[in-house]
Amino acid sequence: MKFLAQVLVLLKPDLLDPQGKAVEKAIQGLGLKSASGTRVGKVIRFFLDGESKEKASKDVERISKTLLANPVVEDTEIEIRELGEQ
Amino acid sequence: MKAAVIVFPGTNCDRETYYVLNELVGFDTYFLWYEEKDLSPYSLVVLPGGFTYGDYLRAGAIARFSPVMMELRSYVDRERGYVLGICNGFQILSEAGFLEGAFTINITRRFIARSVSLEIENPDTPFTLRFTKGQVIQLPIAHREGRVYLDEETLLRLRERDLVLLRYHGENPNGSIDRVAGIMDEKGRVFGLMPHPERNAEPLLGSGEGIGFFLSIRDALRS
Repeated sequence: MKFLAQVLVLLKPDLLDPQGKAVEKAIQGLGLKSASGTRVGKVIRFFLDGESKEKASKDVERISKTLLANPVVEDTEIEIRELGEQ
Repeated sequence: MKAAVIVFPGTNCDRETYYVLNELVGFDTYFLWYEEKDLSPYSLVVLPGGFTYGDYLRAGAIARFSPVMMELRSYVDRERGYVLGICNGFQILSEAGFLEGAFTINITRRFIARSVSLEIENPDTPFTLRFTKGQVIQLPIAHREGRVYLDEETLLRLRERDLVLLRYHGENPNGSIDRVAGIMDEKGRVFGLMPHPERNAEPLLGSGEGIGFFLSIRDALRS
């Protein structure tokens, strides 16, 4: 089975995100004064094969916590979608 | 006494580091490509500064999975010698779990390249024995992801065990927690620091104080 994994990596909420702050100021400067909690993260997207969605999820989670994100400072949000046959 | 300077794709401080070790301190020094797996001849393994793998994902995130890093695990577990990580080298060691902490972007969001003051917090280690407690030295920093983060529990533990060897003095250029600039592992075999001692190791380039770390290791190995 073929899957598409999308991993969102963001700094943990209690950490200061200077990029987020800078972007937030810019957003407010464009008129959206209520913008808050802005964070800048990264998205890693890749295809993978797996016997099942469960197995694929476990693999992606392992990769996410060791390579894609540093769990000391970053949180991940993982999305896995099964693609059509073949 | 043999020292190895590890070279990863994107390492760029290997030459200066080699020069200090080989010409100034007297180690029989070798460059070691990241795919090498034999660390047995070396009493000191140095991970120099640079932008390994372009700092993609996070500084050191990819280099940590190199063959030589896998070897380093048993080198450290079997206490075969000392390990020194400078700047990106420190980041690689943290990512690989040899040292506590994680790095994130400087609080200023900018790459900082200038001389800073540092205070020696613990001179009773193989890496700092040439210094005195409270001694203030000048070393250049050159990094964008140099802000050290440690959770409360880890920071407390490092403080209690005197594992924070070096702190920024008089200012905190990158926002590192507790002004941490350099830390050691529990066994006293691995040391990582963000500033570049190899860039101020002889009078030609400044005070030359940076050589103290390298001389300390040499003295520790000789005794």
